[in-house]
Amino acid sequence: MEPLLEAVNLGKEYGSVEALKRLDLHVHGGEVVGLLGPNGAGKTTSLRMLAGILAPTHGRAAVCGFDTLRSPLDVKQRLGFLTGDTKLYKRLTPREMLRFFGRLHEMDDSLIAERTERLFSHLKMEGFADRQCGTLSTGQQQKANIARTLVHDPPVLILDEPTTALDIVTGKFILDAILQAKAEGRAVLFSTHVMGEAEYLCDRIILIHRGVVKAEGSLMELQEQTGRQALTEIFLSLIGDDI
Amino acid sequence: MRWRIATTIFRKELLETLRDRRTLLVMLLLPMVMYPLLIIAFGQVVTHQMSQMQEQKVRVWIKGPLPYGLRRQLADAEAFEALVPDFGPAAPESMPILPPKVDEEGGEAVLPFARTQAPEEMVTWARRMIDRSRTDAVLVVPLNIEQVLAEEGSVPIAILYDETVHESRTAKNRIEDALLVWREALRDERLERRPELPEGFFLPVLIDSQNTATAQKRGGFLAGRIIPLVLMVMVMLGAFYPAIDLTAGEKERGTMQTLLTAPARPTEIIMGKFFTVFTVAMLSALANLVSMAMAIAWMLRSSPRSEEFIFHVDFSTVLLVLVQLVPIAVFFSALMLAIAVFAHSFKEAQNYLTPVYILVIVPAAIAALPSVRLDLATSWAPGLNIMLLLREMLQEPPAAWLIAMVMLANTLYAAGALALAVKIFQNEQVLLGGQTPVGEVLDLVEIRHRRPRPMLALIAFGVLLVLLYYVGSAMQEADIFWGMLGTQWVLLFLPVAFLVRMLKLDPHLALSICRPRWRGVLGAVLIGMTAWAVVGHFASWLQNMVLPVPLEFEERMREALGLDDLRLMDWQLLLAFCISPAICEEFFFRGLILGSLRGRLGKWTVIVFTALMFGFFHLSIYRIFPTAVLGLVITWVVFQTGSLWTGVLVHGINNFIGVMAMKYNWLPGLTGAAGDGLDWRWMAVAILVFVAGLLVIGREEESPCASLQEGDPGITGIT
Repeated sequence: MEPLLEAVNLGKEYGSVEALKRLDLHVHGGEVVGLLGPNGAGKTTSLRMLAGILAPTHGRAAVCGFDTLRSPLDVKQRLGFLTGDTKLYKRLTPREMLRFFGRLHEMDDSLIAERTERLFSHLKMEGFADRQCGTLSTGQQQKANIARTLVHDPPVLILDEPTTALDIVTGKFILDAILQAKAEGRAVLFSTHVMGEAEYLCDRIILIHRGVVKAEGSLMELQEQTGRQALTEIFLSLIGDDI
Repeated sequence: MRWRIATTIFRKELLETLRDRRTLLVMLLLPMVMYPLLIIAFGQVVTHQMSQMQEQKVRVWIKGPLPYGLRRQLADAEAFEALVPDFGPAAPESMPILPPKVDEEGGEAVLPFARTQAPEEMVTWARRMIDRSRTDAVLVVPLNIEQVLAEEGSVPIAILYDETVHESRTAKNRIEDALLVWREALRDERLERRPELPEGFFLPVLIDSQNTATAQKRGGFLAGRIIPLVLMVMVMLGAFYPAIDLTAGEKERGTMQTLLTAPARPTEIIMGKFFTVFTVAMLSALANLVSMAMAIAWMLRSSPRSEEFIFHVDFSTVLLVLVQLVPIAVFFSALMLAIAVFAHSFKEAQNYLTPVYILVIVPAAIAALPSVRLDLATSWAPGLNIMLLLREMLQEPPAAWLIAMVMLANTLYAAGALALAVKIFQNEQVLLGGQTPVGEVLDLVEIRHRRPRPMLALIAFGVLLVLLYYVGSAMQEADIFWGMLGTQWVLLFLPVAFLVRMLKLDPHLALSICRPRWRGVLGAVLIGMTAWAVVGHFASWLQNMVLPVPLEFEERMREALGLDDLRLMDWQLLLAFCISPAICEEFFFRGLILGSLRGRLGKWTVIVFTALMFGFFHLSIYRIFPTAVLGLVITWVVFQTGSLWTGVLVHGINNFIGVMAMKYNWLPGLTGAAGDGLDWRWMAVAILVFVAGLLVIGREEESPCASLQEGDPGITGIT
């Protein structure tokens, strides 16, 4: 089976700074892959390149077989992208947000309405669907953001720290939504600082540090490779003194 | 309230504010530098205008007989052309003396003097003649003037002029001055004859200036002073906040990246945003135009002199004004989007855009000058053209071709600004909030070596030519010394320094700034000392074969340099014509231009191209060739030595000898138009020294900058 999300020798330089030296990855449908690393490891740069909003300096990335550099629109049609930097329009309601993004994905208004209702019901958003996003709580905003990510029913999801700043209940809700996406056959690339979440969600984990992939495999494989149990210990043992 | 806490917070906030360099730049440094510069430049322009206005000849048509004394007075007046037309209505036999105009309500005199009234037919005719620019004013003298003066009575004389036309106002003032002098003389004559009567008894001539401008035209004149500036400001303000909100504001709120995740092309994003900003700017203009027009009309209607001023703007004028504002709104909307998108926050964007906003003062100030009018040259001056056009449209519509020219110019500027905005929005780093230098975004700088691309040099050269034409020439005409310094340091050196700083260019690679080797210095001195003789004579000889330099041009040059009347002292000549050009022109041409072309084309193509640009920079067909030949030599020297300083040396020494030779007539024939040359023995020595210089420099191989540039494959463009 062809991977839905793929990167080969992906790298990025900003002037003389090498933000990402090399990243190779593939995520299949129904799979959750975790991209883990400390601040400045090159995660955000990697995710932006995979989403087709940042051009790589070398290597290539593809979504559903479409090259991110050559066919960015085809890539974005098939991708749901959520990061801490993808905020909501404060003066629009969640319903208006979804209509706006649905139209940008060239969906019919009737299809947008149908999909919106389904998402609102699934994410339990009916109570605040028509309130301006600026008035919503952090958890409600994140739910609206996830709805925005899913409105066009993308086969691939890239989620960068989707549970940051959320309370336990909403965080759990979001994690369950990701598992639901996995069950629906979507390919999910998931980035987090919370090692527990990665252990809970991910089929495979990629550990990245200073723009270089340090290790890759399932949790069990990483445990075997390092002789450590917890993901935090595994990570620290891999980077050694290079903090 | 606890003042200690408030003070602590105040101190922290102040500290943070003062550490924000951009705020300091906009709030303190910019006004401190900009206003003095504006005042100096504006002062120069005003002085120049005043002197031009004084020299400006006014035309006055006389209707009626002129007594001998008055005729002599008018003939003596400078810049005054009095004619007696043989058509139009005949002068009246006599004119009435009317009582002073009295305020209807208060019963007090509004005008303190007795008045007269030229026949209505004459006023209508004069208005038509002034409107058609056939004359600037009409002087109406009654036919019975000699008789009244002989009887020692008072004779009324009317000056018909148009208050809304600058030349007409000047003509009126000059006639009034001449009439007053003549009246004094008449009064003194009468006093001599009747010394017993008090001085105030005699008023032989009553002068009454009558404004022929219609009430509508006067109203339009008044409105034309206010509306264009306010409209410009409001269009800018209309674009200002939405442009920031939709770019830096979006970045700050984190929604820009959300938008970028959607399948929309950068062009589609910028166009969507652009139309929003444009719509708000146009709506703002429309609201302001309608509201201001109504307010002014109401103000004039309710004033005590309401019958003298009527302001009525018909629908077609409003429409025409709005159509003309479309490219302006497009221009500002696109430009502000293009600039604001570089900022990461609302505040930062405000700092970036405030200077643009303040810049509107410049065209506004120029448009306020009385003799500045819409013509072919001003119709291409950005900002100024629309202000002048709107001003004239509110009075009397200018010629259709001028309206079309302004529209064309502004449409081109708008298209340029929009293309710039689209180009910037293509750069993902800028949209994502990265710190990308402008030069990289616009592809004007070679990132790896931090040196300019040819496009940057071409744009800089184009802008320089335009500034030289509009600003440099005016500054030099107003004052040759300060004008030269302004041209050299402000128009040439400052932009280079600014580009190096802003685009983070490497001064070594971009401008060839590095220490020359001793051979380079020696060669430059030898060439500099003899270039005027060898290159000057050769160029002069060739020039005279193709395009002989007229003697008047040479004289004008001498006059412009102030050499004949010794206006400029030696140190001024040295500073303005030797040191400043040697540094500033070299930084621009052998620095920026050469630095951008070098390695991208063949050696001689680069040298010839740079030299030609240097020739064209001198803005005169008679100077293009000789300066280009000199440019050829200097460019070769810099190319060969790899150091800009050798070019500065050649240029400085060459100009020093050239200027001093002209001033003190060291070597007759050297600078003459005929090119009759030096004594052959001197010439032989000069050629020998010059060739020695060429040989010394020709053997230069591994100077520090040259090795850096030639040896680098990335720069030669081979790889």
